[in-house]
Amino acid sequence: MIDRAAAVAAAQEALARRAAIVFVHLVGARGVEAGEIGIRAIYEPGEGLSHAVATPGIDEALARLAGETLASGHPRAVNLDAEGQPVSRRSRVYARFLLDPIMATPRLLIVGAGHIAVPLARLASVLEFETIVVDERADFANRERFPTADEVHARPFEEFLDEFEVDERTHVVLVTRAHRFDELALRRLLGSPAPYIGMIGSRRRVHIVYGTLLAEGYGPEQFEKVYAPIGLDIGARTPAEIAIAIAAEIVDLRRQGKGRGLSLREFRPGAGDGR
Amino acid sequence: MEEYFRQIAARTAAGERVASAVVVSSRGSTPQDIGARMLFFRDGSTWGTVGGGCVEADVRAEAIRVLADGRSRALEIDLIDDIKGEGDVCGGTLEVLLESWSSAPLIRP
Repeated sequence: MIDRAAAVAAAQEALARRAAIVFVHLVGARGVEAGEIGIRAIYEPGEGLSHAVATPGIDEALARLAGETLASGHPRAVNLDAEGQPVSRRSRVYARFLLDPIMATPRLLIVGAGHIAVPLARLASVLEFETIVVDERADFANRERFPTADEVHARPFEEFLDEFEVDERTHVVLVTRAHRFDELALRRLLGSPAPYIGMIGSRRRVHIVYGTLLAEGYGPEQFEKVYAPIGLDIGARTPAEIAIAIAAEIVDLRRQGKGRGLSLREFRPGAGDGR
Repeated sequence: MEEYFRQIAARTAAGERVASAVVVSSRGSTPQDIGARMLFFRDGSTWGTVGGGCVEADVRAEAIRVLADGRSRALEIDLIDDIKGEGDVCGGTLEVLLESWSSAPLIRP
């Protein structure tokens, strides 16, 4: 039986090292001997389940599904029969589990502390991202300009990026004052586990940067996480609008959204004009 | 997430029982997100949210029972039957897992 205080301590310990684990909770059961409702085991990658939960078939399925939950990052409820096969909730026999991924707070690393970084850092804080800003210019990278940021670093980009550990929960936005700095930062980030590397710049400029890096030997697959030009297409012009377009793109990625409006346009005059 | 566990750890270390509520599933037009979570403390204070006014009163009532008897349970809230005249806004079904957390092992009668 899992000790609840120990489970809380394990979660805190995992979060402190920014590792991801899954809490496996029993929600209910019918016709399956599954024991008490509540947390029953912790899944850790490479370790499997901390405790036996029910039948070997169920435990095997839970370990596999917990792994999938970590990959998606989203909690999930599952119904299993005694053999661990998925069943409908209307089934006569089922055990229902909640697989709850315990993952560190997502981060947003903003490289460049210029006019877009200011509203973007504020939005990131509202979205409950741990927000980190870096720029080599101390008169830009300072607390006065970024009162809500968790960290503001006035340091050279290369020096900072060589030390900073970009993990699976670190989204990165490149908005420095010059494309050579964005390019320099991008070179250090390709191959990192960052789920999102957004880079500002015109389509033409982005093509040039990609061309340069490809010529240097980077493979096209390394650009999979690069979003450039940055942001959802909402016609943004001002720094605040561009910041919203960037934040919207990050939300769209996290939530697997569709990046378009929700309104029921078929009920509008002139429906079918393609918008 | 860090703050959620910090709250549980701090309160339980002080000898208090804490009730957590986590959204397991949500059907219909309820805007709740699976995994949305809330904590209920003995002094009546709370942390987090499972989606606001429409459901929180029901969840709170059950959480008070969890704080009293220390038993974890699942709760299904049918929001269509809500007689608050807000059914259009809050229609649907919400499934919530309520859990009891304490540093002392559970003592069963």
